[in-house]
Amino acid sequence: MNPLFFSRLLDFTVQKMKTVFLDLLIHFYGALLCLYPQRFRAEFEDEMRAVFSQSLEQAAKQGILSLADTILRECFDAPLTLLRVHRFNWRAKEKATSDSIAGFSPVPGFSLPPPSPDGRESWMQAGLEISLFLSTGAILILVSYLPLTWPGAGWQRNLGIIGAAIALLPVPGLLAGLVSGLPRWAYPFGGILLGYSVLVAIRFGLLPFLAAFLLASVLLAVVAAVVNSRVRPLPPLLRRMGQSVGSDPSRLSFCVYGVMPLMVIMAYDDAHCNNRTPYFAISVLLMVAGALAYVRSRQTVVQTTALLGGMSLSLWCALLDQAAFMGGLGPWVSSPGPWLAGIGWMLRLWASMTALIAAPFLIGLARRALAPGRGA
Amino acid sequence: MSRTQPRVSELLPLREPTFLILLSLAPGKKHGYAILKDVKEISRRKVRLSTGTLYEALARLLDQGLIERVFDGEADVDDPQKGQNHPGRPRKAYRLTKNGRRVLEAETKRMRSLIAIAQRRLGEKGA
Repeated sequence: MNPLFFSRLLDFTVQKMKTVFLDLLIHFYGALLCLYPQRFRAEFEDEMRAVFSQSLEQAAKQGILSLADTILRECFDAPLTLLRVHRFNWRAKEKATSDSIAGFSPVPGFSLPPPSPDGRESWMQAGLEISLFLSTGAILILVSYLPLTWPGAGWQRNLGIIGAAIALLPVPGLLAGLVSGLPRWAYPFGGILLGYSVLVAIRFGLLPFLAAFLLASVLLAVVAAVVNSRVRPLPPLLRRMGQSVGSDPSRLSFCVYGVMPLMVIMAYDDAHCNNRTPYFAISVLLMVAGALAYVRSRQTVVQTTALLGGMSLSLWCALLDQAAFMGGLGPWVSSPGPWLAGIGWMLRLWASMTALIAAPFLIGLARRALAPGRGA
Repeated sequence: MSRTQPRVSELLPLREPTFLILLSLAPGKKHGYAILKDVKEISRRKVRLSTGTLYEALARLLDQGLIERVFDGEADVDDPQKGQNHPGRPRKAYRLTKNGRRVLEAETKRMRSLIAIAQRRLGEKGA
């Protein structure tokens, strides 16, 4: 046999083994890269693998000692580097979270799914968002206009029962909304429950306690969110809620508008049962129409106008009904006392609702006017 | 990664690998492997960065706005195997930003003043 053949065969074998060994090392390094944070890998994985491969090939050319030195250096540096990269990544996340809490702004690329679509995009979604108004409106109209021959007739004249039913039925809706990260359809459910709590508190003289409780809860939640965000990122569900409010402050107006079914009952007192005029049905329809116009509108000013319009027209209908009822009772021109009291009460209710619905829009306007760099 | 622009004074003194990476990028843009080789050469083989250490530092420097990434095939001036790993894909190179150059100059000035003090004191001691 030719000794040159053996020499070449040996060279070939060594070369092949070296290539296989280097390939194995590169694969091993690729597996090691999986330990780095995902965002870091997405940005640098390919480059790191390429640079490691080049370093290995260069070291292999310089001999076994240089190769061993390169491999050992990578192995010894890896744990510390991993720790430093994870710490860096964690701090970047923490900063992004605290920024998002401070401004209630969505954080791009921060693993939050895009906000859920709302009623502007589909009629199905619009139906879901006004479901509270549709269902309570249907209940109110059925109760008001069907003859009082049902079993236990008379219960529908009891405002306490109707109010409690209308206010407590949305509890499952609100819970489902909270679990889903507070999409837009959940806001009216929160609004009607809050409104019912306020009414009950007024009835039993507990309004200061309720106000203090709500204020303390909101303050505690804000402090907890800010303090917690310095320690670790907030859970995605809470971030979704912040995103939900921050992305569209008019949702707070929609939340206030959720009280409308209770407002309509209050505005008509028990007139919807013993004085069945068309006004009540018109009020309910206007309430639903206002909500529908809101969910289908795109501009904040149109949305706010829709809510204010729905609420105002609905309450003005009640005012007309009351005027017609009072006028029928007696000479209100000569003795306007009770009539004026009723009108005054309705106007106060209307003014309060107007202020609450318009507040988020006006605050948004003021923030934009005071924002630095405007007009520069 | 979030981009922040800290002030120059907040970043000083630099760690040795960071200083050497910035110094390596002072003449112009380079890709990762060229930086590794240059750092070894600048430090006279005293500092040899692992791939992980290099990219951890690059990520931090990118975040601080001291360097920026450019996609340029011509960046591989020191690499004989240019473009072999991912043929057809533009390779990523890094270069100093204006702020990075300011930080590098400030660090050099700081080191120069330290050396002046050291020389003066050693001279005083020797006199």
